[in-house]
Amino acid sequence: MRRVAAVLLFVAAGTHAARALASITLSVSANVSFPSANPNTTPVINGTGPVTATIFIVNPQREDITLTVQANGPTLVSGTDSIAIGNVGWNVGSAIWVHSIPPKNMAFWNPGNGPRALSTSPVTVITGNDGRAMTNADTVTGTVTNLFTFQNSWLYSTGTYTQTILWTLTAI
Amino acid sequence: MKVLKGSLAALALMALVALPAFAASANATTTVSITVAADAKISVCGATTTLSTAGAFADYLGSCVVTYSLRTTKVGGSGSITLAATTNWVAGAGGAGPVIGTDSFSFTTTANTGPGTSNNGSINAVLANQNVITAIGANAHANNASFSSNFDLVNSPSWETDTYTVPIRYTITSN
Repeated sequence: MRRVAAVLLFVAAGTHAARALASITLSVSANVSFPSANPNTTPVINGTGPVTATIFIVNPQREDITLTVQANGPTLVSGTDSIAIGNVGWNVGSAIWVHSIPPKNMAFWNPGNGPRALSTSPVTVITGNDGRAMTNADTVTGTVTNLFTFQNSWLYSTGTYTQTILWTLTAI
Repeated sequence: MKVLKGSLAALALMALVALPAFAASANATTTVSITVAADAKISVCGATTTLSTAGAFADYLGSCVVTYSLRTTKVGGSGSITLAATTNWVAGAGGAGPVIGTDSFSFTTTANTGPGTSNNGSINAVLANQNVITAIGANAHANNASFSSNFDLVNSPSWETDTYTVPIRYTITSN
């Protein structure tokens, strides 16, 4: 019976220390914009800069990581005018992990999806694993760079159109 | 054996009380902004439009299809297309031939598939801009619209035989 209790104690202690990360945060570039351009000479406009998603995890414990993106509305809006959100596209440019100290297991990214058009449904941008820390205080930082494009057209009415997009990070 | 039984019981208990899979999530938002401004582009049929005559001093005639795209500002915008001869007629071998402003050289505009009003009457092509398409209003859009410029140079027995050329410049505006 004493042996059974010892086994239970061991299992409980091991679960508490190693099962889960301590915290996870996600930050992304606040804005991406597209300048006006002649549709004949620039049929696809590149965003003024990449949208960088930065993932910060304390005490990673080999969680499966998934980053998704979706638009918060079906159109870009300028007053009463609109442009379908599907004219905005994204693609993963690069993805890296950086551990605070060498970990037990290295984090990794799987190949990123894209190029894809934005929609109001969440689409997986990239998946990966955050590795396993040596101590509870260790951290890992993931950086996913996303490149955005916009399908140009003569048929758009002049104006400044906006929409927000939602990034969601899950760790399981 | 008793100890073994106890261990098995413990393992069974572990399975029953196993913690649910850990899951965490976080969200963040990016604002997408696109600026669409007035713009325009125009292209002509080719480097050269040849005017030809049926003989017996019939007029020299030729046409050029012009393609254009444009969008004007939604409120208060406008646009237009003009053409002008940028120099006088130039003889290939020094002949004495037609002269802008002296000899009749005119054009008509037909088959405009885009917005605005095409000036279909005969207009003299001179060294100043002449209206081709006017009254393109606010929030107008054209995507590879086209029209034909039909040139007519009245023939003259006084010209020396030679090949004569004149550059024609099209200007499209959109604001």
